[in-house]
Amino acid sequence: MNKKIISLTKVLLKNSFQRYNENNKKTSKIGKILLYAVLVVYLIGIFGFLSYGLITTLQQVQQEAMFIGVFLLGLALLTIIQSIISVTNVFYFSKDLEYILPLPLKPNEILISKLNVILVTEYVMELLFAVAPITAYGILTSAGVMFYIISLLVLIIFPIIPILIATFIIMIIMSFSKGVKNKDRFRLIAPLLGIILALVLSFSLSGTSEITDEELINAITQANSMVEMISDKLPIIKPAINAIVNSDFIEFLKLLGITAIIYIAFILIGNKLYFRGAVGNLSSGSKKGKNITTKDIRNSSVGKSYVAKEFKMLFKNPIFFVQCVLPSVLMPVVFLGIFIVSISSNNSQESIKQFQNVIGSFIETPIGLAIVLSITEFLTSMLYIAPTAISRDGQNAIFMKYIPVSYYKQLIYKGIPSVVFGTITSIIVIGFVYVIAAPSVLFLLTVLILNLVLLILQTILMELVDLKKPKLEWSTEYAVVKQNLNLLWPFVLNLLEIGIIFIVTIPLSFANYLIIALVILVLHIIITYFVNKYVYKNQDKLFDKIN
Amino acid sequence: MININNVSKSYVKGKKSVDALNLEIKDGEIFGFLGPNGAGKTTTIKMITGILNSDEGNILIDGKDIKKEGISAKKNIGFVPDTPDIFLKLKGIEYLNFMGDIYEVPTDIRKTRIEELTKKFEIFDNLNEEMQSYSHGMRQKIVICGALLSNPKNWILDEPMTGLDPKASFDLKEMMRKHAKEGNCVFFSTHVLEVAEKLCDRVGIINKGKLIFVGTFEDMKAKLKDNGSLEELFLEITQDE
Ligand SMILES: Nc1ncnc2c1ncn2[C@@H]1O[C@H](COP(=O)(O)OP(=O)(O)OP(=O)(O)O)[C@@H](O)[C@H]1O
Ligand SMILES: [Mg+2]
Repeated sequence: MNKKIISLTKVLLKNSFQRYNENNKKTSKIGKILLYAVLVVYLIGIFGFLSYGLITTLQQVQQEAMFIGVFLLGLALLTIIQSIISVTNVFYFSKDLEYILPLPLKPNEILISKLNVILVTEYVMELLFAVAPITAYGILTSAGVMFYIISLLVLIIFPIIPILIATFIIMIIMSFSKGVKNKDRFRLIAPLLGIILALVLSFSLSGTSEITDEELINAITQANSMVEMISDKLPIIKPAINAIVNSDFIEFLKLLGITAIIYIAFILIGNKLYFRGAVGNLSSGSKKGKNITTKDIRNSSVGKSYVAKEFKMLFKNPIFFVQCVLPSVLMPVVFLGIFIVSISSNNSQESIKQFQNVIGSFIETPIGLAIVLSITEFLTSMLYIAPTAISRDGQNAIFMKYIPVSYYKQLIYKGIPSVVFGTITSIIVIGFVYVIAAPSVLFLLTVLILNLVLLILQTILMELVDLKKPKLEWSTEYAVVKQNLNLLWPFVLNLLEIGIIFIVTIPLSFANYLIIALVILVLHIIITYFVNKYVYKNQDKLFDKIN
Repeated sequence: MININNVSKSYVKGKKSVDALNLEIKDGEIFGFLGPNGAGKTTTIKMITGILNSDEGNILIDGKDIKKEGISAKKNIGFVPDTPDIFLKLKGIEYLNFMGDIYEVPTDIRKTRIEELTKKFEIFDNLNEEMQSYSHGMRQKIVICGALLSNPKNWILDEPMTGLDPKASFDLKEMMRKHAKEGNCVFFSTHVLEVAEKLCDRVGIINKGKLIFVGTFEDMKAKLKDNGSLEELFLEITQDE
């Protein structure tokens, strides 16, 4: 790699992890590091624990190698989905191209640097999601040093092709954006289109490897042969599995070779594709509109109008939409996708039914309810509407202070989009639960209502977090969502919520789930009532920081 | 009518950005607020409009305390901030409708006001475009239109002429005169002395947080001759332009 690429990569990385120029006190720095550390340990712990459970179960039928297959498939899919979002941001949304293009750089140097940025982000993700499962596998199969070395090498090379796939998908979509009139809206749906495309692709790929029941039984009887069935979906999966499972260096070289060939091919075509789409995208000027008519001037109530404005500001700003809304709405869809792909390609109809029966009998219990609630809590912790409610307005935040609408009301209006999108997430999860477990309508309704109550409390608390430390001095929207420590709070809070849910559930686990639901409901209504009262009484003080 | 009684504000402890300010802007009056950069003009205006809380003193808008009866006081204020970059993702018409809803302007009045104001400022044809495509002056114009839509009694404008072309500037001045003549109150900050001279019934000069002069422009000219420090200040203000 030449020097230019390295230094450009560094600059781009710094830019995308740009800090605020806030007064970084030492204590807050230590607190920050501590918080990150706790988070990392927590995540690694969870994934380690899950992997441990899965591997030991598979070991009982001597299928533990299948774990690596499922793990790599999941990793590939997760990388693709994640990259689709970060590629749209890094390649197309960020304004740096305006500064980079005039520099004496070759197009492929820019392209490679940008790919490097994505790659680094994916490595960070691997650190969180991949290290623990691989280590668990190594320990449980009492593997030697070679296993860890080769696994490390595989993890370094493995994400490249998924990233290229994601980049390619987005580049294709973006190259159509030239003729599109409303560029902002197009940019907003581009990652959505990309993810749908990726899912469709993986569906159709899995469809080609249909298996009959007999083959399935045969396969199960032969140890480790289930791995083979997954492998033909992506050319890199098989060598990667073989390299890790058998600590086979030759297989790793195969993986490296395939990756290298595809990478070079990609750089050759990517060049043209990228600069055609990107340069066309630089000018996002809105179209010249028609003149307004008297119909365009219309009345609505203060509340309606305010909420409508909040939605418009979210929808019209692709960065905010992609970062604050999309993850929590998309993740359940992605999980659903992964789940259906892996179920439908590996199981017969009957075994799916059996599976449904097992879960179905278990779902309408206190523990079942607690698990479903925890899943939605986990997903809505990625909903960043409320913790950025004030910060997203930036310098316009003072608007809230000079209009004749009480701060308390404005907080409620600003919270509504958060509750609405959280409810969408919750409905997706409920649909998911319905498909796999088919519980009663009463159960689904209970989940919906409890989620709503949890969401309302979460929204108010997160708005308070934002009010406490708003980020108003920004010139690019990125500053609001990148390196914003406030955004750890939804995660922390929802973790706490999950804890509370289980604390309530476990001692009452013998009872009907409706009793648990009632306890959670009443508990949250009481807490919400007091928080609400606090906000109402202290609204003037709470808004002191905004001026 | 705006009453500012003994108001002080410090952002940093020990350094008063506005120091024991007393002012009364009567109905029917155009009041110009002058002073060099960093004198405390914007800070004062932010306190009048309720954006900032004063440390000491109180501010009354038509007799209503901006701190204690904020909502009803704010209903009588039309405010134009010093930066016009507001909600740029909205279309012009969306912004105006939004302001109309917030200040509860009835539809028929809204229709005539929007047409009248935007046609006067020549941005009527751009109302269906997002404000991010507007030039600086056009943004200034739409913010002014938004602030004046509900025809509030008290106009408070922070450097409203910056970025306006001569015609728009002239029109705005005309509107201010008309508004004052109808028995309302106009308070604005500016660096442009000619504007202050031709437009204002009275001017106030603030420097380093302290009000050092209040009166008519003629009074000021008279005072300039026998007050050296004021003359220096005058130079400082004029040099800003
Ligand atoms: N947010 C803030 N934090 C700390 N100090 C501030 C802040 N805003 C203003 N100041 C200080 O308060 C003083 C008055 O500032 P202000 O903005 O009121 O000046 P101004 O008269 O409006 O100036 P200009 O003509 O440049 O607009 C200045 O010394 C400024 O440094
Ligand atoms: Mg100012």
